[in-house]
Amino acid sequence: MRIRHFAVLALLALFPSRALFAQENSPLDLTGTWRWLPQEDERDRNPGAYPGDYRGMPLNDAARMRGDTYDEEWVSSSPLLACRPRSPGYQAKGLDPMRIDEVVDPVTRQLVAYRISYEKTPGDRMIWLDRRKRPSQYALHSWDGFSTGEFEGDTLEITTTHLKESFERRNGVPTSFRATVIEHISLEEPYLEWTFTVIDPDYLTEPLVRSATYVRAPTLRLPPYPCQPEDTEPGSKYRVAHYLPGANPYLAESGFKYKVPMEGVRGGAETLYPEWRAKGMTLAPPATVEASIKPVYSDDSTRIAERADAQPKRAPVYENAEALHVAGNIYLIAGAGGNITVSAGGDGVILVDSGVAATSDKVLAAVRQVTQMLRPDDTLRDNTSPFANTWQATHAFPDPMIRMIINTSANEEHVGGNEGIRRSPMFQFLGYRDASLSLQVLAHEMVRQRLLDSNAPEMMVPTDTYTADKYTMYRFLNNQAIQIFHMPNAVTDGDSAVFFRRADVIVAGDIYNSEIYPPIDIDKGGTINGEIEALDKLIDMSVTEFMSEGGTMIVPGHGWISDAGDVGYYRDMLMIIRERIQSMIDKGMTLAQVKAAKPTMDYDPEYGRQPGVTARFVEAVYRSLKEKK
Amino acid sequence: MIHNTLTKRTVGLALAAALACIAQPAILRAQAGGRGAPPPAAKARAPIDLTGYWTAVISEDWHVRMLTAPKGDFGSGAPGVIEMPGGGKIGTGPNPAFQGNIPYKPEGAQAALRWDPAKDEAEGNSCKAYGAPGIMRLPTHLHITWQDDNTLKVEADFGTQTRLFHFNPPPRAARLDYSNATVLPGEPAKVDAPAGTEPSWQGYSSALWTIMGGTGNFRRGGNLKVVTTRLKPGYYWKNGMPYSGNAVLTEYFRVSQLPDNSSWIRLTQIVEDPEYLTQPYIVNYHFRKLADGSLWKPTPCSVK
Repeated sequence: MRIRHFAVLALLALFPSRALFAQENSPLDLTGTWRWLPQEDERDRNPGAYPGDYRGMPLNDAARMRGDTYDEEWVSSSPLLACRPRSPGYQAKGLDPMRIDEVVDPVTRQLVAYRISYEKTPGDRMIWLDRRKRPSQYALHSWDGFSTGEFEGDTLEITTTHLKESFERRNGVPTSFRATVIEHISLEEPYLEWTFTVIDPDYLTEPLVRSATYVRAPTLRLPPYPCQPEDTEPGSKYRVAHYLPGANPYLAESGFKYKVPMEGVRGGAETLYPEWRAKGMTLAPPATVEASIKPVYSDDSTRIAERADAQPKRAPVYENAEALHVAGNIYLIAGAGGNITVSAGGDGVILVDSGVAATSDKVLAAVRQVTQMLRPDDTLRDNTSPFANTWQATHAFPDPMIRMIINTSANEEHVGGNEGIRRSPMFQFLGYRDASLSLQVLAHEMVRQRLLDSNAPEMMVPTDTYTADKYTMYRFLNNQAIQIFHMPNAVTDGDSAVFFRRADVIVAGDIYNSEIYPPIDIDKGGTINGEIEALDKLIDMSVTEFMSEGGTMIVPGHGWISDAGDVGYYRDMLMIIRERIQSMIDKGMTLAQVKAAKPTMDYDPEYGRQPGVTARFVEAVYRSLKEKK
Repeated sequence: MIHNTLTKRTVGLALAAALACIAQPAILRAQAGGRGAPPPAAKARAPIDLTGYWTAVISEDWHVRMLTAPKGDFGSGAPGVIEMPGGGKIGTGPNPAFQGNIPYKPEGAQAALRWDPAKDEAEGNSCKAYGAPGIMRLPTHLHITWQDDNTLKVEADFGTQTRLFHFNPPPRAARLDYSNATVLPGEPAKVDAPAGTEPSWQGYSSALWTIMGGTGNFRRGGNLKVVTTRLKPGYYWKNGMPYSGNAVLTEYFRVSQLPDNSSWIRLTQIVEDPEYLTQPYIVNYHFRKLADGSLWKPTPCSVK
């Protein structure tokens, strides 16, 4: 009796303190609708900074060159980028009102996440507060990225990675897809103070710290934002608006109008600190708005390709073959040289590409891992009890059966594992009893020819080939059609893109790499024009879910899972570089002179960090254009 | 028997949990000292460390903060120079500050257009842009030290200025009474300057820590709130953007770290000045911590 008494008292004592628990999980009430206050950098926000205005930004020369060659027509005329939303590295400088809601664990009622909706962003931005791990480096990047948050005192600190390439100012200053954004949010009712810091190893020499203030707007409702890119004329050809290096006539406009010396307008870390004022006060602003500005780019960021080339040669290390989900029943195995795509299901496993030879054991282990991620179809029952059927199927697994390999190219990083996988007992191909219908390894005929020409091991060479523009598998495999598209004269003359129709996944092979220039091989039939046409085709085959994000997933030959927005950026980058090199050829420049002029300098921080990649790419573009291939 | 054992164990656990919860310091109690004892000094209670040398990092409103902008440049260029698409030339309407950064009334904007640096210099007012609402916006280094246990000293080498933040005993915090679900309001913090305080460039600053966290799943931290009154009229920027002698400056100092281990002050400034402003003027500024005082270079006030 006495014990029961104590129990009641103890439970009663708990009541007042339960509320404290709830508070500790959420020290600030960030929820509600907020409107921005225009009391800082107002002209940068609306209508946007003048061309070449980099005041207050610790940019490197690569970023300046990106900005100098930017033409705002590019984004407004691009069907993919016209509705490009703002990223966290700029969003708080935008004009968007926002709404913040709590996501609460239904059981513990603890705060799990904040959901932020901006007027002009796709869906909701999630800020996870439940200490979840960051996704794989091979996971999809998005406009909002992946954000985790943690409270320190009265401040919410947010860390965001996995961002798409975006911008830091609306005049073309880029933010790399490698950038991390750190945000600090504090509340002084009714004001929300939002500091956002961009750490960008590609385009900034030090963190760019900026801030914004929002005020509560309880009666504000976010309006709908049905952004639809403009219609285009029938037959009109897409072009990327941009200025050739040194040709932008508007770079003095900001200095002239704000009466600021060009050394200040051009930005750079030294211009952010008090020591610069004494120097700045002695300099004169441009005398006219038409003053001719011929930028010189010479800092460390312009030597990234040279530094990559100078790295001592090391044998590649393949520590992990990592499996991650792409869409539907399609998975990616990354870290095995080239990317490997896996279709897994009741019909077995279809592999697109096989990685390098040295990783075959790791790839087979990853394939096992993928197949164990699958769960039995609950509607299928056989002779065992429903429970035993489900339990055994989810706890004891047969080795998966690999039915075929499709090779997207003859590159060793994509075909090197063919032999190891074919020799594995897991390889039980489609035409098992009939060698004439083997369908063990399928590729375009030119892949077979290239491998035979290079005396590749017999087991590496495709057993089956196609020559048509489009090849459709004779039956659905794993409940979906597989179509293979020949992409003539892209990286080589034998490239294929593989389309898993139901999962809506396209495997691009080396036609698209998220982090390096395409390895165009002129001697094997590759050309820059064919490469760009192939990327156009990938984009045409794709549908984005909303505002150039999501929808069709595109697996690159190397790098992270992408979508049409990423491929659009990549295609546009190639179009810009093609025009630059063509203009140099038109001036009679030799290959050596073109290489010395560094026509890719501003993109090298993103795509030129691997040895030899940039020089090979520039030469391929030059030869393509010079030899009219 | 088994039932009895479980019951005893359950009750024991419940009691332990209840005691643990009661003993946990609540957020809102963090300011208070022990019952009956005087609260510890401000220096001992500091939830963040503001001391050391810091440098302004000017990444926003750059041309009006780093340089001396032309007269009438409210952040959007000199009057009539910049045109808004579909909105006419900025700085030329009935309120020249419209579409600028500072929410001036026409009276404030007109006062800005009367800026005369030569007159300021001749009248011994070269420090008008270095007052408390101005100095933190300028390209300066800060040196922050404890003058005593309850006074934080903020020196700026640009214009050789000194601000003193006076901590009062912490006010009684708000309290939540869960028995009847009501909030008992705390007492307001004392921010008034002592009687007879003469107006000055730096005014009189009252300071208060807000301390949060340290329990549950969020880290201890907080901010320093400083309210400054008794200001002499001065300028926000060096190009004569004015505030009146009635302006009240409220600031929040916070400290954060970035992944490169750099420490930063995040300063929120809110100016209320009904004489010149249509609404509070709110901006954030950033200072990065320096390893030492090697960049410290005191310079006199200048109207240039």
